[in-house]
Amino acid sequence: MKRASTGRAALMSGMLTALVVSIPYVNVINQCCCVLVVLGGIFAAFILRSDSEGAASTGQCGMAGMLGGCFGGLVGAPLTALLSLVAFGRDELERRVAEAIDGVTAAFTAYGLAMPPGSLEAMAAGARATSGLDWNRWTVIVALFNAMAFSFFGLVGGLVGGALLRRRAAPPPPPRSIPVVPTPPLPTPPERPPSYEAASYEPPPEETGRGEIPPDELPLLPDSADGAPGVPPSPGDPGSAGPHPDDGSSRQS
Amino acid sequence: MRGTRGIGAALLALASVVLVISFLPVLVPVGSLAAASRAGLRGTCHQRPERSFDVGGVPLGACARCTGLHLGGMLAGLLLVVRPRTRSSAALAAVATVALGADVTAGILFASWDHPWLRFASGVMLACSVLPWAVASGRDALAAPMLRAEPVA
Repeated sequence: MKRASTGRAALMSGMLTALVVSIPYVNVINQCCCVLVVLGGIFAAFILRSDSEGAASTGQCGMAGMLGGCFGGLVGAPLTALLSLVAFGRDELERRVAEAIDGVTAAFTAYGLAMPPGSLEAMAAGARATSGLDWNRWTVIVALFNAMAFSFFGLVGGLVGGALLRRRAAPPPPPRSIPVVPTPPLPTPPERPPSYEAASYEPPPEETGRGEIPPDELPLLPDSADGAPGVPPSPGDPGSAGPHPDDGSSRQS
Repeated sequence: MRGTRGIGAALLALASVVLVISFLPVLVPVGSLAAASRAGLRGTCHQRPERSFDVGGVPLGACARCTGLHLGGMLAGLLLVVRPRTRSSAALAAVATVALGADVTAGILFASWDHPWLRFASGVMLACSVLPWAVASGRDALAAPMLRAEPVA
């Protein structure tokens, strides 16, 4: 089993969450029950389960999702302001802040709700701090509130991801009534002799008998008187006689 | 069970803090704190006043469905702390998810679909059914390998 790092999973999911919730127009999706942060928590659980080969507990997945959400909220709030300033420009942001405040005032008036005194100015300060127009302590406070909310939804996402990506149950154990006895290894059989069909038969070299003379070394005898060709003497032929080619003496058997 | 209690405690604490943040505009209506709480929750909720509960004419910092999710998370955390063996079926979690999806779809399609208490109830039901199911199923998945057969000597 590999050792999984909760911090690594939280960091990766937090960076992804911060990036996604900061992109203009994409971050509107997060206003639907904070679905992007919940998906970030599921992503953290996925990383943790992959790293631990499925052995990470649900609590670890939830912790990774919570830390990832916290990181995403802390980094995401200033990053959102920065990206908004870069994408839309200062004039457009001023116009949007004024439009948002007018919209809230109109909604309060339309539904007959009371607008607390001084809240408009405070709302304008908060909106300017979170939109990138101003950088003050409210930027930090808003980032902390954002981190709290993101932590909750990240924890939910981590728990749900840990449940959805859980490992398969182990196969049922074998019945205990049949004991499994380890069998000793079988002895290796002796090497079989080569079969006759397979072996190539080579006849032994032909041996000449002791005292025999190879046919090509037989002595040539002179022709007989009647003109018949000479016949070499055989061992059982007493009538044959002739000089031996080597020593010139006649061979007598 | 200690892990389950820890998860429940974390859920309870975080949901309570978020619920308090969403109630800050009501508790401290004047000042920048209320505006900051609204700005802090703006990334997680649309905060439309007509879809939010109000106390004394001042709407909360989160809509009715998000308030239900926060309250449901708090209740689920409390339940897991008090009774760690609490479990919820996957079917109930699926029904709650479908109900919330249907409510969201109806709110998008029909402008006249204005039922804050239905939104609130769908949020509470989702959190109270999904979170115990997630914790219990993760606990079962970890306990399953303990059934492995041991070799006979």
